[in-house]
Amino acid sequence: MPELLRTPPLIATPLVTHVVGSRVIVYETITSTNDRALRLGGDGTVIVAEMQTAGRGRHGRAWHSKPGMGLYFSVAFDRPTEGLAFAAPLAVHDALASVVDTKIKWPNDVLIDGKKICGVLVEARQGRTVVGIGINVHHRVEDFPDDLRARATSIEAATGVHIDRGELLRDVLTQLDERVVAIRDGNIEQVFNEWAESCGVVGRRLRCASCEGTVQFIAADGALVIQSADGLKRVMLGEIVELEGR
Amino acid sequence: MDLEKLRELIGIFETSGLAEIEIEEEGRRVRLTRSAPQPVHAPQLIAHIPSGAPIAMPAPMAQPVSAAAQPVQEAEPDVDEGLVIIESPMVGVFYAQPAPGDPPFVKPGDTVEVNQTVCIVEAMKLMNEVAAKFKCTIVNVLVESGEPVEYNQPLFAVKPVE
Repeated sequence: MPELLRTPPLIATPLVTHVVGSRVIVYETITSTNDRALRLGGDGTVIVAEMQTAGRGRHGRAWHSKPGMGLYFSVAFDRPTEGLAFAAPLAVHDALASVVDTKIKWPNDVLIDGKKICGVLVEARQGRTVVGIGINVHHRVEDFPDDLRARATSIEAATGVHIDRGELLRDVLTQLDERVVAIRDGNIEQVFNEWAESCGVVGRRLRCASCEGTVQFIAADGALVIQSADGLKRVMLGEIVELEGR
Repeated sequence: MDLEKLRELIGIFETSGLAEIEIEEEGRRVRLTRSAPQPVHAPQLIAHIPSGAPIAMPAPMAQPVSAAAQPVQEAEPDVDEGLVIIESPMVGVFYAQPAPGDPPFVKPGDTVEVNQTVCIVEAMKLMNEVAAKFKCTIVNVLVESGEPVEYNQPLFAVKPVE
């Protein structure tokens, strides 16, 4: 039985949500929670896995998922649900608020002290949208491959606090549900604004693949609008590096 | 509102992703709207079939042709009746394959079924699979994998299969 299922919070207290968690399926090992969620569907279905053999980030990048250390799950939505890329990092940020102050790195990584603890990947296929969330919970520094150590950490490694993964899952799902309900009620703007503010990037100087400059604002579709030497530029994706000064 | 301010406003509007903006200042009102609909958030997946008669296949975006350098009659060499364009449903980056090193979803000559994935367009780490809405044969892939694409930019020229 997956260890996650043995954790009391997931079993003892039912989820009080409207959409997210209509059913929760826990696997010991799975190729990728996003793949399973995309295939299975069911509005609000949650797929959780102790280990992913082919977990992935954007465009097929491998996601390092060590068994028992992290929380890897995906939520399926049967209707097109906009704004999940904003809602997911906010849900993680708020679920952890009582433990540690996290920062959302545009667009949707969650960091502690500048190191990544959570990644989000949203995939859409034929009217079904799936949001995959991976959180590093108990990893020690040595649990990460060498090339990741400077950029990644876990909640426990960064804070010394041991939190229960089942409890964290409940909290993130509850927070995510709140946002999804708000979005479906037509309040996507509220979720967007909350996310944009949490990114804390407006007014900062940064560098990305295509330009360097100061962020003027975040456009309605989530793109950064940067004042560079060649005028205003829109940045939709890619790595950004914050530079000193404003 | 002076000209400088207006220029600034247009610059902001162009990059904002907004469909319309209206500003009133000292009794003067300026309204900017886009002629083409602009998706504010990721829209549903679509494979767009332009209405009307068979259409010409546009030249790939990567190879702009100077009008002066080419006689008019040679500017549309790829016209082929019965071709339909699958357009990008959103602004993003076009990926021809699921992951680097993988074979592409489709290549010219392939026949794809209804709802078969033909590519991914990524924006904001949202990987949007674009699916064929009808059975068709891929005639041409109009964008290189990894290239940024605009809303409604032609991605594939296809021939519907009856």
